[in-house]
Amino acid sequence: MYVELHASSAFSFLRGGSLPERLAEAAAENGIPSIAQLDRDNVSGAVRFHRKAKKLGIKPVIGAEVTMFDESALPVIPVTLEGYQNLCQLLTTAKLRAEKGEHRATFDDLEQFNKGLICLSGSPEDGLLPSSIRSGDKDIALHKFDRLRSIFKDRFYLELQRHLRRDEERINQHLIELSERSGVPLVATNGVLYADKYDREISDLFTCLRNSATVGTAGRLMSLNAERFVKPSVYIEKLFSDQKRAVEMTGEIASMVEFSMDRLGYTFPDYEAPDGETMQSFLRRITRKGTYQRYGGKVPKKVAEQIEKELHMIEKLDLCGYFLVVWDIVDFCRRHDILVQGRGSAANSAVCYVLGITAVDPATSDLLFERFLSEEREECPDIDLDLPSGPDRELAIQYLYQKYGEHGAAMTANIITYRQRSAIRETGKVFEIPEEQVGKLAKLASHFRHSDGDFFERLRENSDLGVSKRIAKFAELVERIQDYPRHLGQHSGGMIVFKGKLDHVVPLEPATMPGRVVVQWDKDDCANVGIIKVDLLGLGMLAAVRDTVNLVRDHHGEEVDLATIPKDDPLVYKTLQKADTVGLFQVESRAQMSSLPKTLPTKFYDLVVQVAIIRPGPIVGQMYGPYVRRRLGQENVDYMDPRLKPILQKTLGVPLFQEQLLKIAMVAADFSGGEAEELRRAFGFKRADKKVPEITARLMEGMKRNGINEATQEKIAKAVNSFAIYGFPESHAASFALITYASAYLKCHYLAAFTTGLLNNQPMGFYSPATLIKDAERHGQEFLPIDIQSSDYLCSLEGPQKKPLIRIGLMYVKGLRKSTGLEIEEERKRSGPFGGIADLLARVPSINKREIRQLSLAGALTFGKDRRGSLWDAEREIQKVGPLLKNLRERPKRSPLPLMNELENLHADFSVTGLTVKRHPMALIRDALNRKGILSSEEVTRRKRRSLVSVAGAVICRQRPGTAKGVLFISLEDEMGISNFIVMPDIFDKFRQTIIESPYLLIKGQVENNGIQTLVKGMYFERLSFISLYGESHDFH
Amino acid sequence: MYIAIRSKSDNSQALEAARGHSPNIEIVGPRMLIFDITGSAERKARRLAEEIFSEGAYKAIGVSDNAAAALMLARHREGVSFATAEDPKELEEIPVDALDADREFRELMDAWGIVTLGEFRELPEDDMVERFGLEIIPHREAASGTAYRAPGWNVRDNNFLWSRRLDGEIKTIEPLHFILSAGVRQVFENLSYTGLSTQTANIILSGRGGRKEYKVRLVFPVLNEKIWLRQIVSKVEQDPPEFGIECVEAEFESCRPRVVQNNLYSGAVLEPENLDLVVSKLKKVVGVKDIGVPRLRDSWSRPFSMTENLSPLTREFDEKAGEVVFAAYYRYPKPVRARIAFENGMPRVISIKGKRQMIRTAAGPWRADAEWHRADVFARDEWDVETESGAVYRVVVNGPGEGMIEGGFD
Repeated sequence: MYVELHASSAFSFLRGGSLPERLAEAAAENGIPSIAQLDRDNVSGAVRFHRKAKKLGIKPVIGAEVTMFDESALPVIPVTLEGYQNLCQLLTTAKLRAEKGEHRATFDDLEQFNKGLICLSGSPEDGLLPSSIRSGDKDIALHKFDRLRSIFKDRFYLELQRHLRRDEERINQHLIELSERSGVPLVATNGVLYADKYDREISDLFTCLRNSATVGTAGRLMSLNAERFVKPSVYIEKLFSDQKRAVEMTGEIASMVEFSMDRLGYTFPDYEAPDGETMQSFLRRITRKGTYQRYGGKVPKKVAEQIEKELHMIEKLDLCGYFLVVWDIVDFCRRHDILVQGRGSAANSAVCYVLGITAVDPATSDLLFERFLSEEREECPDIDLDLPSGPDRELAIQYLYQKYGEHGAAMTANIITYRQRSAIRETGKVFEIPEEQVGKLAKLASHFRHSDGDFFERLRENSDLGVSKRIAKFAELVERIQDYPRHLGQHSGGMIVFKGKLDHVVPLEPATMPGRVVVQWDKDDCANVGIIKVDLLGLGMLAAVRDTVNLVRDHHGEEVDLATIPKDDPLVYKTLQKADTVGLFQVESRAQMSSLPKTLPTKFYDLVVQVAIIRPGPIVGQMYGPYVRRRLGQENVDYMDPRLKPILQKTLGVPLFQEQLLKIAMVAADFSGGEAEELRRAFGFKRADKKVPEITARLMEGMKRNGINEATQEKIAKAVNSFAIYGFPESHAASFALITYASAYLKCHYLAAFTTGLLNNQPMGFYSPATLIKDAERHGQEFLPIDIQSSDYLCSLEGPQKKPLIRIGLMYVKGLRKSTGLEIEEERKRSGPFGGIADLLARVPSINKREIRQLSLAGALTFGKDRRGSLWDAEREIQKVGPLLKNLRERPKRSPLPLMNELENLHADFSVTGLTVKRHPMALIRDALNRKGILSSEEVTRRKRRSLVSVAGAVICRQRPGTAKGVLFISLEDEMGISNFIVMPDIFDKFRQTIIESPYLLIKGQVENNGIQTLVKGMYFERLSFISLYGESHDFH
Repeated sequence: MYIAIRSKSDNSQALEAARGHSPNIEIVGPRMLIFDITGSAERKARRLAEEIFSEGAYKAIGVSDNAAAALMLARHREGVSFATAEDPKELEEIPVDALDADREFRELMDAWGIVTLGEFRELPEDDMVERFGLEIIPHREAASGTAYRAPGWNVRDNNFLWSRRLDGEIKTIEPLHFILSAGVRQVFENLSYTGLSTQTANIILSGRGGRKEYKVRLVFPVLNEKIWLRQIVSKVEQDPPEFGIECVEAEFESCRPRVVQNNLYSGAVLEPENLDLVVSKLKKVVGVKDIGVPRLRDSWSRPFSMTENLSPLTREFDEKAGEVVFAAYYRYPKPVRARIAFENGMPRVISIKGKRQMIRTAAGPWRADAEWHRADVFARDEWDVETESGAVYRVVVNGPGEGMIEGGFD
């Protein structure tokens, strides 16, 4: 019986042609009892492979091909846990000492980390031994052979592969002779690169990408034939009919392998409690302290009971260490004035609240700890911490690296996979598709969906590529490589710790960011093997809030404490009800703006619901509609059963939150908290979990026992089923709602500081800085342009304390390095304003000519001249002149360049800074638009329902949510505000390119005014010809 | 005056038009040439240009008293354009991007609001030099239609010319080979733009000590650099100059290419009847023991052996024990069709021109199915087979039962 001992998946990045799951499937289909996945220098695909193989009843063997000092590949297979740990350390050692992508292992590394590993000689084209045989370096080949034999001893095998290639047999014969002379056994493998012949094309495509070649230039880099697929035993036996022993050896080796991914030897690290304390006693102590801090002497009884219950569970599940590790991070943040807030199901925990991890008060909220932690829950708890994006978060991350030592902490990986855009770009390069066509298709790609028809059809409609086999193959491969791994990236915030020993569990490698180390598994893989992680997530809004608070302190002299701002400010709710929410956390999207005037939030809990309800789940799960109708009084509130009223009252009888599901099960059917969580998880799987029938039966029995009639039982069971999948965690929504409220409060009361905070923390949120500025202007905020004499690097406040103006910062000049911007700021603050461009160049010598030009074009270097005058002077000043001529230089003459008109000024603003503080571009052509009967955003709101209108504006939003059945939402902005449009799928298809590519649009359509909002149903779209309209407007004057 | 022509496809028609009016023609690119009509008045030159343009094969024609300006007009305008130093209007309308400047310069012009060459010209020279140094002068000249462009006439009558004046003397063949190869490449590039070939060349080597001319004529027109260089160098080697070479000139007479031209000479193939004769002769040269008939073995390690028995009809073979032979493979100029019957996945019977033979031994398959992205998919299985008559062939199977004998081991 044959076992495949050398297969590489697509996690041999840009080599393997099949996903790990597919390899396992192919083994099962071919009746092979075991298959070894050996990816190049990583085990990133190992967890998925392992799980799939086990499911199919195949014995999964994990190993790796290790890149050696001479760029060859050495396959190794761990037979024991020690062997796996050695493999992890071997890869980690090679990776961490080299630049990313430059790692190589040496024989000394193999000496150090060989125990428990089996070694094969490698594939004919790139194996450690065969590569020297192939190139005729017999002495080197012999040397390598001797070393491998001495290191691995009886765990070393000479590997034969036959792919029906003439050139391979020479190497095979050499290895056979070597085996006969030395006694090192032979083993047969197929050096698998793809599951079946069809996937060979993907492997070849990746070869081209890896070598920066095209199908036209790759030549012999591409495979000669498609023989490296998973072959059945009978095939291999025939191929190696002269070496039967080598085939039998595969089964013998597979049976030696004891190591399994099910037993990795990982345990969550202990927390080092202070002397004389245990983790449990320390946790209790700080919990007591925290409780006092939160409640003073008046701890509510229910809270005290809750805390005790939680502590008991934490101790029972041996999770004290986990909570202490998380608390330690939060404590570090507090000591360093870093805003931090826990989110997710952790907000159900009273212990988390008193430890300061979360901000949701159990005294005022209906928490359900079992949603976060219970005995029945098979997963580890998951605490995510939101921190301000930027340096604050980095500080927290580095704290963990330092605390847990080298090889003790690392980020989780993010497997970067091909999406349609990247697939189009890269496959397009390989297939020599003209760049402009590729760019066009990639741009359109984000608006394609599978439901739109296949990519080839879209390609034919939207390009000039014609129809040929090459083009058809290009389109086919674009589709096929979707979701294939491209390379290992770093997750934005997931971290795992295992003091000093993480590289015994999974290989580590350097991230692209300096100072960061990443494991080779993503968060799902980590969870699947039982590794607990902590997510340190950067929220732009928290950074903006932090900056706002600081600005308010510095400019207004006021101290804003987010923990104590009133939660019932009527101005805040009025703003939300008007959907005046540009820049506000979680409520600024088109869908939110459309919903807010209907739901009309009046209190904090309404906001919790608002944050949760505009998501795919509630929309698809049909919770949104009933909630809104009940909110508007268009439908009666129904609780299904009176006993459920306390649970569903706050959401008007519509089950919305996962916690409500758990409570329904507890109240209606007497489930315990843990059982209810089990129910949620069972129903929550996309595919039917095997526990569902049993749990459903218990639910029905329980409801029956409680006297609930059959019809109501069905109703409740259906609701439970539905929102187990679609429901949202209330705790998560509550955590977010706190930030939403804070952002709204700050915008209402400190508009200048808040807008500055937003501008200083881009990119974030839904809208561009340009839109944020115009929105603020419409609220009466004034702005000052970028000016070398006044602008700091960041945006800042100037002028009166009561109503400050916002000065745009140097950071918005594209092409200006941060270091240069900071230097300009420091130098000006140190030595006063600049006397001119020459003075600027003299005092800030690091500034380069491109930066000077950009500053000139941005209007920052006026020194009393217009932009072109400044450019003209700048070009003179940046020429290097020696000391002899320096003093002889004449005074600069007047600029001969034409003055910029207003449109050109705006164009310069947008091209250099991406924003403007001058008139909105649409204001420049308003006269011409008026003459043509084209309306402004304000005028269209006064039109009657069903009237036909033409509206024009800058496109600030194009959205096509998955739940909208192909409908597109567009927002246009003009000098008056924002107008909103919907586009039906057939119209979108007709005008797709215009809609997607035009920065300014003219839309003709029909007004849909429902008394709450105005929407236009777009029917005709045209790119707005700005220049010709500007000419018309300009000429009129 | 100069006339520059930008053609829609290749230069062939433009070349014909140019030949009719000037001995001085330069092929500038695959669809661009320029010729001079010095001595013609402006009006006459313009009329000529319009006449040529009316033939319909051209995108643009530029007419100017300056060669660079004529080319600029042809490149960047459509139809017939005219500009002189006195009347630069049409030149001035050309976008400033037409200047041969880097991206940084173009972006700066855009930022300055300078759109056309005319606007660029208006900028004060002193100020421009102050900003860009003297490198700006050629751009200004180009914008005003006064840029100097050295004539590079490379077509005279039917001949394509090239010459190189050397910095020093050369006296050996290697540097001469190197220099000639650059020249031949240049000429052939120009020839290829016209779709012409060449069969005759005059090579002139000159120096202080003399001048020598070599005439090279091939059997048929060929545009293969290697063949030409070999011929030219061989000629020079046969009769080398007795002086140091300071100037190398080459003049290739253009002509129509052969319809079928593979740039190769075909060799003769030995007829089978002559085999014995050839073998006897070879035995005398290499030794009796070192020549024989290859036999295919069923072995991965030693696929061939050799027998001295040269009779193709023998049914026994007698093998030199233990000898590994690297059999010479002879690829037929034209593969021979064959039908192959398989049994249990191995070839068993081969029929060549109606004659059936059993296959005694077979090795393979060696599989190639590359270039899957092409419309003409390439997929083949190769087998080495030895027939009952002792012939060893390489057979390619590319369809059910269908094959081609590509060559033999001889």
